[in-house]
Amino acid sequence: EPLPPHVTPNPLSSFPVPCVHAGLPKPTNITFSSINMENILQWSPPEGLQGAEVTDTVRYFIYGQKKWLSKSECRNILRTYCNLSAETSDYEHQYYARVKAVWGTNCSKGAQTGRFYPFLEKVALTTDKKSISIVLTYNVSIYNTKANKTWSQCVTNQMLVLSWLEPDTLYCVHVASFVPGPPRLAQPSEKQCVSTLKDPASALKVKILFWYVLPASVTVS
Amino acid sequence: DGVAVLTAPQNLSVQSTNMKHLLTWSPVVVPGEIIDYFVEYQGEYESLYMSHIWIPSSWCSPTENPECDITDDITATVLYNLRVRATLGSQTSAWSTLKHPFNRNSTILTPPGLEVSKDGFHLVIKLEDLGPQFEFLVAYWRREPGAKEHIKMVRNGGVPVLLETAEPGAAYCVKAQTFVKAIGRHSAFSQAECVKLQGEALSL
Amino acid sequence: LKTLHLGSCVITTNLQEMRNGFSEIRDHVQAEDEIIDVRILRKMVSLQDTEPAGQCCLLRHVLRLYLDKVFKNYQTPDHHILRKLSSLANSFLTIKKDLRLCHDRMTCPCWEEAMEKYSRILSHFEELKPREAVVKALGELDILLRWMEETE
Repeated sequence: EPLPPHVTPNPLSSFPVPCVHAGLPKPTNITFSSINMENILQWSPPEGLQGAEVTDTVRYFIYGQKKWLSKSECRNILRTYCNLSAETSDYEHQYYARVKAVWGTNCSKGAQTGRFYPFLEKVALTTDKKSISIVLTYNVSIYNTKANKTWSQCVTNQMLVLSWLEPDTLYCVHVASFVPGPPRLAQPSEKQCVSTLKDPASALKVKILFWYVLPASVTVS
Repeated sequence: DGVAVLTAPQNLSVQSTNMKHLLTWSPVVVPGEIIDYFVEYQGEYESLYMSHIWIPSSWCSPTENPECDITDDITATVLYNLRVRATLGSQTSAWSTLKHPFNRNSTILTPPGLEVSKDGFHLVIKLEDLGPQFEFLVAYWRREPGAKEHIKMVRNGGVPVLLETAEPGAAYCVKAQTFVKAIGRHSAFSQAECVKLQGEALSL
Repeated sequence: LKTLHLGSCVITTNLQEMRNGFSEIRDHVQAEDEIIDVRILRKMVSLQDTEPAGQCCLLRHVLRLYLDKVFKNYQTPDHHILRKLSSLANSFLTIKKDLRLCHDRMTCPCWEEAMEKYSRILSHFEELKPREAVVKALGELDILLRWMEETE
């Protein structure tokens, strides 16, 4: 279908709430963060308005389309974040978001993010058009406190059995998820330690279980 | 542009080992003076589509040494033209261009350094850290007649990795080779290293 | 290396290296594109939703657009960006050479669907002023890299 000639969106039209641009400072540090599959818009309050009853209103825009869209749960809010996971779940698209500060009938101009591409934030997704399956690899680091030796192992399932451990020895473990695809910093888990029994004849095994909570929004069919 | 009175650098050549590429040339000598060199490069794309464009090298525009690490500039598996010129104040030499364009797929791949250690009944290896472009293929087998060779891919070097949890008293041998995905080539295997794990069989 | 299956044309490419390179300049290049209500590489003309047999042809034409009209027409005084774009351009050149081999072996046929999609891409590109089109096309390299990844 023929596409209308492009129209640069009028910054004012993106915010229907009637307010006056009174030179109110804009919110700052506005960014999308992708944390465990959730896309959160975060920002800092405008400088110089501490103590004032300032609220913020969020809008978002799908790159290549024509209209700014709003999310009612993030209109006139006091917090400085907004969960836009549902609105930015189609990783075929790229997105922008804007936040403006409102104080009484005055409002700031909108502070705008760069272009956000959820696909680059997601883990290595394989899709067969019907579902998304996630391939997470865990890098398990094991530290033998007695021998003062560390070694690591990559596993893809969520349980690792370490056998033939030394008796009466404290082993410490921490796990980081490794995700193939675009480089991503994975926060390692907290260190967990366990001691093997004194009796060498006991089953020298330690089971390391780790779990990972996947938000429902990940399963898209 | 200054008048070209300085002699141009000579004998340009590239030494490339394990995807580290070093451009060297004979120094231009003016007694008592420090010469600056400027290195520029041009990929096959530039030479085909925009031949007038040369790109200043990441680390050597300028440099005082008669060599330049061009590893960060050679980032595609195509032919690269390289050129160098000398400057002394406003005096500038002519450009000297590498006689034969360089392609990173000609790099020399050496067998990787390999440390085999044991932690109780665990066979642990640590491979030489050669950078993010390198993966390692590790072959290991029990040192006994007819033993089967096992293969394991190790994603990066520089960190100890568990190879095998072995039975008490078992002896294992290990060798490794590098694989560079970007150029689709691998090195020769390293020498095999063998270790014997502690203890006798435990009755459970 | 990633193996791209484009119908019966199979090539390998360093998608990860290209993605890493573009991620270093992405924010800068996309910030230059102020026309956010126009997209050149649109969903309806995507590579991965093209008949496999025609994917090679579509990709070949899109790469030619980038090599002939985008990379060479983007001027910047920033040497870092220049180096990253050179790296991407030379990687695209490598892919185009591989696709050329498929073409020579008759495994890169150009049928109606692929040509129709390419002509739409070209018209989206040519609707814009030259400088705007070049900046927008560069800003959409992450889309193109993803299209290639999805044909894996």
